[in-house]
Amino acid sequence: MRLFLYILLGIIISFIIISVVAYTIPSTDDLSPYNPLWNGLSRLVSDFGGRVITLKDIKLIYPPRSIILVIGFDKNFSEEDLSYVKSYVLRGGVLVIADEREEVNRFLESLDISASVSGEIVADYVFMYRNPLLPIAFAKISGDNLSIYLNYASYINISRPGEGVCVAYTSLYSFIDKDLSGSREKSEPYGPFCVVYLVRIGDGYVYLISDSSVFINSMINLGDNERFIKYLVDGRDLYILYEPVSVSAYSIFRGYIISFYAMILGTWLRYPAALIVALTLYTLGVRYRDAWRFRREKIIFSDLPDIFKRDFEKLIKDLEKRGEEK
Amino acid sequence: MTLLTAVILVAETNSIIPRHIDPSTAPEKSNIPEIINILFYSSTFLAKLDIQGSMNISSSIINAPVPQYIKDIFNRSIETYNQFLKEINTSMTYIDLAEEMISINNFSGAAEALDKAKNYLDKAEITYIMAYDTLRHLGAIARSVKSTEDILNNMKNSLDILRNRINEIQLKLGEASSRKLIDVYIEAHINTSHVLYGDYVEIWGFARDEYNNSLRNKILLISYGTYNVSIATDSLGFFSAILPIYACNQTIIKISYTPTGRDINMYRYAEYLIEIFSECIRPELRILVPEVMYVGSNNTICVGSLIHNLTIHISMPEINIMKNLIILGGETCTDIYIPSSTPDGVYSIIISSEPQRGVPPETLARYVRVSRTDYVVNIYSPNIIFTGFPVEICVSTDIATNVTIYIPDIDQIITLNTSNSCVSIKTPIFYMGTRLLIGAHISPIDAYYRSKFIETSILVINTPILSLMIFLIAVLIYIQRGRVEFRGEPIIDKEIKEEIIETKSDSMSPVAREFVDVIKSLSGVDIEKHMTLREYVEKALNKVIMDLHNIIRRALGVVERIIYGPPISIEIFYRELRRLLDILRHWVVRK
Repeated sequence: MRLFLYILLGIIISFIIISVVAYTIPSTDDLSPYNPLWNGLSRLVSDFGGRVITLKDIKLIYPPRSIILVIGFDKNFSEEDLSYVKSYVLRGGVLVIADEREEVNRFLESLDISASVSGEIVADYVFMYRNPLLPIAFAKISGDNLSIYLNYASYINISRPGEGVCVAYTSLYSFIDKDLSGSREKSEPYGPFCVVYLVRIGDGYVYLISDSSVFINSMINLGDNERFIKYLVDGRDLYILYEPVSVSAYSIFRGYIISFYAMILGTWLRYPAALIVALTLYTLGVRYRDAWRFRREKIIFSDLPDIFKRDFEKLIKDLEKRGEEK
Repeated sequence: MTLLTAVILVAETNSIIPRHIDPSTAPEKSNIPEIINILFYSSTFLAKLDIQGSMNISSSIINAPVPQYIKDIFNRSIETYNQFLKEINTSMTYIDLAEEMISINNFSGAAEALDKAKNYLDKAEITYIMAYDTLRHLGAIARSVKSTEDILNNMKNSLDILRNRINEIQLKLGEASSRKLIDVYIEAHINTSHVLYGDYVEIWGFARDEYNNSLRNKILLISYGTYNVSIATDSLGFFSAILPIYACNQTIIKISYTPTGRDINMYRYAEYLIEIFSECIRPELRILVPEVMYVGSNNTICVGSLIHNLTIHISMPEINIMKNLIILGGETCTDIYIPSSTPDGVYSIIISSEPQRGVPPETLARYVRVSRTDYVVNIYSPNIIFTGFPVEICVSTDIATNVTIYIPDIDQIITLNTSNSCVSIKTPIFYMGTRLLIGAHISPIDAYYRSKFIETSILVINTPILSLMIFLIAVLIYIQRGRVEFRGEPIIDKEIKEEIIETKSDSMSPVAREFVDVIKSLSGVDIEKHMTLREYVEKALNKVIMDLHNIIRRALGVVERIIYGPPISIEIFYRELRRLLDILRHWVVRK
């Protein structure tokens, strides 16, 4: 019985430690809405009241009042997934796709968007933040001039003019840094390059942004990035589709811990859990209260000097010993 | 172990290559050398006097982000450089004007323009001196001294080129002035000098040279404001024209002759001015539009003016609506139908009046919100839902609609085809959520009603968990039924309790009895009926050795605690009493 208690206590202590670790060590996944570090999206979630969703949730979102951000693509969408997304846009939803990699193009094709992300990195020696690979793009939205700070951004190839409009361009001095050398070679053409493209599909809109970094914690407060996101959201309910990005083992583990607490605290299980905790605390409280009272009342001669108390204890021990000898 | 696992997992996560770099730790590189190169590139255009090209390039770097430490000198350099460009540009404009004036034999005008060109060139020279300091300073900071020297050289070159050009034109002006050109005189008349807006006037007259020869078949230009018309003189140098007056108040009509072709070397430019007064009454349009115009219905717009029988054009250009209206007096209203295909939004509504004699046209624009018509929607649902039990949700509208009910928590989308219908929903028996979100999207069948989305939520009671909890609480109450004691009375005074003990000494509690028995065995003193327990112990202590006094007193205290104290931790006191009595019993045996 005692062994069982020790095992149980060990499990409880381990779980507490795991919970503390999960609480104190955040997710470090790139573009994770749960990551509060420089490359996460936690600020986007907290500042704009975003809700993280998975693909299967899309069909349950009311399109005309919502905007879905798909930031970064690491996984291919199935035909069924694509049909959800397409139906969402056709019914009046706003979809923002932000990625600098070519993998996104298959997704764009399936939405019948001819524009594509080149996958090559744009650099700028003049309009930049700290480094040519952190170029600045310029947008004019509703008469407002915005400077959008980019980070390892690509550019958008527009193959069917008139299909949509380019909302933001890099400067005249930007160039394609094909070899990522950080300097311009002769074969590397000058800009400006389109980095934000808007297409109307059905009743909805698709924004294609050739850089996922505009939304990350370390970039969101640079330049007018935050205002740009405000213009995109435009009072709609913000959803962040997180499924396509690869998730690390630690995040999966942390997700389980968080889900466990969410399940206990956010559902009907909280009531039986509260009952169990209350009964446990009551039982422990009663036991410890008795022990505490006993300790207090044990010294019946509390007004005796310490030396007498020690003598008294010694006498009892002596008498016991003598009784035993007897 | 757990911590170690966590650290390993975190380390594993960190090994993924990111799509970006941390901007706060990114290596910093200055863009100033590149900006100076661009300025140099701009100055090469300046050296060729392609001011527009130079300005296009230099203006593209005005907003370039530069490090804070260099911001002031950078801004000052760009500012002086652009100011220099503007002054050079203005000087060039006046030089071009001077050349043009010379070409039309307007020598006084040419001289005036040339003076202004010189003036601006002087200003540019002063700006160059300022730019010299700032650019050299910028070059020193950015370690691009060579480039900045080149920029300054190009600026200096442009100054020299312009100075030479001014000198050339000065000479040209001198030469042209010395040439003998024939003066031209225009004499013109008008039939009236006081007209109403929109009236026609007749202008006639003659064009002659200084020798009183008629200027035959020459083109004259009659103009005022933005209106102009060309007329030709006849073989006698006579001209006449009838022209409408679309101007208000004092108006100058100019009849001018500009020599062209071979006449440039023969005649001077000449003009004649006629002043007339045109009387205008402004229509002072006013418009009353509803705050919201509804799609698919007629919306009344009222237009008023001071002028009666005024024709008004009403248009909403974004949605191709045009309508004409005649204001009969005061305010006149008309209905405008907004097509049902019009998207909701804010649109401009423009009214313009047609000109009348004495009344110029006027245009007025207002913005109006166009929206679909509202209607009433009610969702009837219970306040509480028990999992596993069906409930009915009803949606009613006063128009024909399609209703789609979204219940995301249980993955249900239900479509209702009628405007007043109910649907039965049942949450799974083990649905754990505390509330059930319900959204209803109402799409009216008629396009001129707006779509709506209504959200509501219902409190969910989980039937199995609630039942289980009720059962558990009932069991707990049952188990605890004998253990709970009501203790509402005040604590009884000690003396009274002792009396109770005394009066009930026959039926003494087993604890007291055992204690008394041990003391009796030890001291030989028996308890008497009138004695309290404490009196008895005090009496017995006289018969017991001193070593045991404290033990007996402690035992008495514990007995009193057991008998009089609250029924808590009794077991612990019993154990202690038992230990003390055992010691005393050992002593009895020894004795």
